[in-house]
Amino acid sequence: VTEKPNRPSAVLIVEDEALLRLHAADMIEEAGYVAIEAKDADEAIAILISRPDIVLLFTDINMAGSMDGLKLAHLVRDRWPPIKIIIVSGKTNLQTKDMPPGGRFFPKPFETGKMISEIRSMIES
Amino acid sequence: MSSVSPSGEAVDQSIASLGDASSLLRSLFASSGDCIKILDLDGNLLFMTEGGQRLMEVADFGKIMGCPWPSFWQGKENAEATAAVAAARAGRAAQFQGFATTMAGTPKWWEVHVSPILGSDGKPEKLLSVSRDITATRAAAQAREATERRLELAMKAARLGYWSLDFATGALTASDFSKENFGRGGSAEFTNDELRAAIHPDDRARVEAAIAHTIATGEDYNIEYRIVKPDGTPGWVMIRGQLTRDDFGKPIGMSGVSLDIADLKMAGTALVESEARFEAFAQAMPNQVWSATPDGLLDWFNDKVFDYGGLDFAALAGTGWAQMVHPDDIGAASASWAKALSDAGQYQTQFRLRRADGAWRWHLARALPIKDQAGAVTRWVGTNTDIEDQKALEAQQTLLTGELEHRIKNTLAMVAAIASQTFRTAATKEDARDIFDARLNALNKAHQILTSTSWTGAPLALVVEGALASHRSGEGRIKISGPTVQLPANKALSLSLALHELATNATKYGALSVSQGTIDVAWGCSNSTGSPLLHFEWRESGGPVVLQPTRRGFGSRLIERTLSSDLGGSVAMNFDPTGLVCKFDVKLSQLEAA
Repeated sequence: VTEKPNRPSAVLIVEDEALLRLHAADMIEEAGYVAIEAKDADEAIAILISRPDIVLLFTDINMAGSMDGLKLAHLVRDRWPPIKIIIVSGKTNLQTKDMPPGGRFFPKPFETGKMISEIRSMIES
Repeated sequence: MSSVSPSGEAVDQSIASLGDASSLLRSLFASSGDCIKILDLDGNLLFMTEGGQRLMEVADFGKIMGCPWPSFWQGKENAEATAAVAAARAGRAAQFQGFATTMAGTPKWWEVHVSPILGSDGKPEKLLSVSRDITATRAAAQAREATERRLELAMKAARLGYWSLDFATGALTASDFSKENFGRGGSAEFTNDELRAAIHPDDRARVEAAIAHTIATGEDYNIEYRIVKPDGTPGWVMIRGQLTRDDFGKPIGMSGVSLDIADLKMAGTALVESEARFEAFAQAMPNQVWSATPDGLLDWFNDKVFDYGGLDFAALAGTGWAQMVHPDDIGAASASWAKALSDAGQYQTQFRLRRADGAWRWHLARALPIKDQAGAVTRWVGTNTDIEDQKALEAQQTLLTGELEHRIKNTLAMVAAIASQTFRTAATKEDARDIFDARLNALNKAHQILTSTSWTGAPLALVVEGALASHRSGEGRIKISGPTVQLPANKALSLSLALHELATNATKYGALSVSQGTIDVAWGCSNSTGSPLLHFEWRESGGPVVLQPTRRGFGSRLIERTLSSDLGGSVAMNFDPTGLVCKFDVKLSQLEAA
């Protein structure tokens, strides 16, 4: 993990599968950001409200709780427009029109190396 | 008659030679409508009656008197006239018919008689020629012949036979066609007895009764009956007839026509059989079956239609069927039906039909036109097949396929995460391989448990047993106890992996690394705070002295994440010197809801 001189940006990971959430957190930290974890959309919204340092939402689609990852992504797009959005899912038939504007979709399982560079380029842009 | 005209003189001389009969002859000549001429033995004209001159349109007899009579004829008739003169001169009467124009050029047909006028010596002295105008009668005869010929042709074309029966003699007259109707050749004899014998025994009484009825009442004879032809083959004939009467109105016979109707009868029988077959098929089918007229009005339904919709024929016939169709579907169905009607092509659509109990069920409707030889639609036959179950199955299939794909992708993602976690910390390739295999095995165990419950969830005891099974040595060093608790599927996978990590650590550094160590896995439920809680505890004892690790391992990190809840800090990893203790609390409601 490389520490930057000023406080690093945070990435919010929303994933209900513990192993995958753990793996995503390692990946985000390897990319040089602070990983914040939520196991569902309700937790994610509570974190978003309290933490202004989140610059990117990294979410799964299928989750238990009041909303799925896609709805969460749309909500984030509306309420926190600057936050970048990455959606990952086992679903392969996701339509572009279902995506929030500017969001990126990656089918599971994703390639860790590629994902890290994608996250970096989205945040730095 | 004028006595001064040359002809008058000639006739006077001729008549004078005939003696006292002159006045009788005069009146005969005068009253005759024929053209009467007297010729000499060479055939030259000597005299022509005045009536004859009018008939022949002779303006001046003086100009033709003495001319040879045969020269008034042309061609064949000229030869016949010459021959007739010769015959009469020889003492024989002769006659012929022929065509010739009058002196004024009017075309006429003639019947001519030439006979000798004998002298007192008994030898021909002069010749008598009588020409009768037959133009009108000949035309009438020709017209009658033409009519008869036309009638004959018409009867031939209609394959109608003609017959007549004479009551007095019992004689039957039958035309060739009529004989053919009864299976006889045109030249064969066909008597009334043979006719009666040809009637099928079962129909004979009916025929006799019909004939008796006609004779008694004078009504038309009109009957169809079966016959047996001479070669033994069966047939059908239709006979129509009327009484024939004498001048006093007394019935003297019957006459009429006959027709072979075997083909019609066969076709009729085939049609009845075909309709019966259709109905039997249609009723036996598991589908709703219906038929419609060429303009699309429904005119028949099998009982399935009535049973399903609880509506009767009167309610459904014509366009009434539409009331069974869901309002959202009737537009498309009607358009599809209208198009099929105009194209005379296949009709196929899907719509919901209301069942008698009010339930809507999806049906596949199909219909095909039946066409005649000219290609015109004579009827439509259609079916409605209930595809509600099929639709539900398809939807379920789609759902399952999607779910399966999602699960596979998720599992692959977990495998990728396990690989990544394994390879980043393993000291050697061999370690990495063994750790990876063991973790995959733990994941596989959890999968097996979930598969056995169709992924609805898994009992906690089974998950714990499965995760620790490969770490047991058979000495009872791992004890598991707790009440029945159901884990949701996604928690079961991660917990399996986490327990596997704890057990692996215990094997390497903890209680299972020495022969005396034991592990107690126990859980229980409490309800002290109002919401039911599950307390889970992993307690190692009897192992080597435990040191606080410098870095938290994969297992403990996974446990934290698997079981983290709103109860912050509920996961506790105590590296007690006597043995590791891992405790966590989780809301039961959370387990059930997730």
